[in-house]
Amino acid sequence: MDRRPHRTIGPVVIAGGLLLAACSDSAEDQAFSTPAPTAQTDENAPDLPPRLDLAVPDPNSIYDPVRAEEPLPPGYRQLLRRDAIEPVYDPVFTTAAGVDWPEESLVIGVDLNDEARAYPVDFLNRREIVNDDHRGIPTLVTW
Amino acid sequence: MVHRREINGTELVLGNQGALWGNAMTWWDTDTGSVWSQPLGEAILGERRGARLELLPSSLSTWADWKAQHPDTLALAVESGFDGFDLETMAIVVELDDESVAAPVTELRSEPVANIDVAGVPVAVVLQPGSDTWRVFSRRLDAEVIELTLDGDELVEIGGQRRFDLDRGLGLDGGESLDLLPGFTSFPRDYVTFFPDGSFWTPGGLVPAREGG
Repeated sequence: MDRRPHRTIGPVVIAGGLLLAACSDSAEDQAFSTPAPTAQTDENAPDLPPRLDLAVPDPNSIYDPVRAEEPLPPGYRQLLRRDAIEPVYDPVFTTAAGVDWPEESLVIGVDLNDEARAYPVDFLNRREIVNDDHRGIPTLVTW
Repeated sequence: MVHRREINGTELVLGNQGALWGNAMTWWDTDTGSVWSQPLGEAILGERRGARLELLPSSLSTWADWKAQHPDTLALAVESGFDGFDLETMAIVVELDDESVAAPVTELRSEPVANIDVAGVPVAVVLQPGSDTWRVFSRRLDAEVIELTLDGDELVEIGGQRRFDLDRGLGLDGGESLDLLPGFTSFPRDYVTFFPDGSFWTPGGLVPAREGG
């Protein structure tokens, strides 16, 4: 066997969502990614919601049924500590013109109380959970 | 999925429990610590067990289609770029001969060397404490298979005298060297998707990636 040291392969990421982030070179995308008027300068732009910033306790300070050794349902598998994949507790929004997401990338769309909001799947692949307040409706967007 | 995070007028804040149940995500609520199943929207453990969140309408579409249908849509402002990966949320995967094991980085933080077998090959997945440096080594030397642990920046043989440098597995004091093996990083959920027959390593043993195949 070859005993010479050789390099590892890595890190290589196999996040399926990354494929969706592949940038398009179309003229439409190029135009879309140019800076556009913000909500402050464009009177037709939608109002942006106030910043939400939910208070979250240290996960270790809160009861955990697993640590407390409650009987676990079949198939339950604890793989990571709580919030190892960090949820969003303080979402911030901008206008459609304020982002340059690829046109063919996927979004979760929510239309409530006459307001539409889009959450990019690429981002949700990494963060998985967004706690939001959609014009007074407390929402939880998950992927 | 989109749920109303409210039960009987009480607003809940939900985090990531870090567990799978029915091969799907689970949440914890930040006031009682109850554990929730994402696809059911229902608490399965803790004080709120049996409570259920209302599912709200939502859609999955391309950004182009959503914008066309909702010209005034707001867009979640995300950190710039899609490359801000945090190693702490990932697992180090060793794949040999169509078998694989994934070692979650959070587990390696509590025990920095995973001594495992993949397709009959004895390997060690090593994560240097306090850094993002990781390596995969074969644990097979010319005449025997050893188990490894970490002592500072050196790998040491459990129950033996041999020591190796962490970067390349070179034998110290003129001893035999370890072979480096390939590995890669993956989000645990992607690993479950792409390697349904694989396993997650934990210090307590291996856990099947997908129950029942």
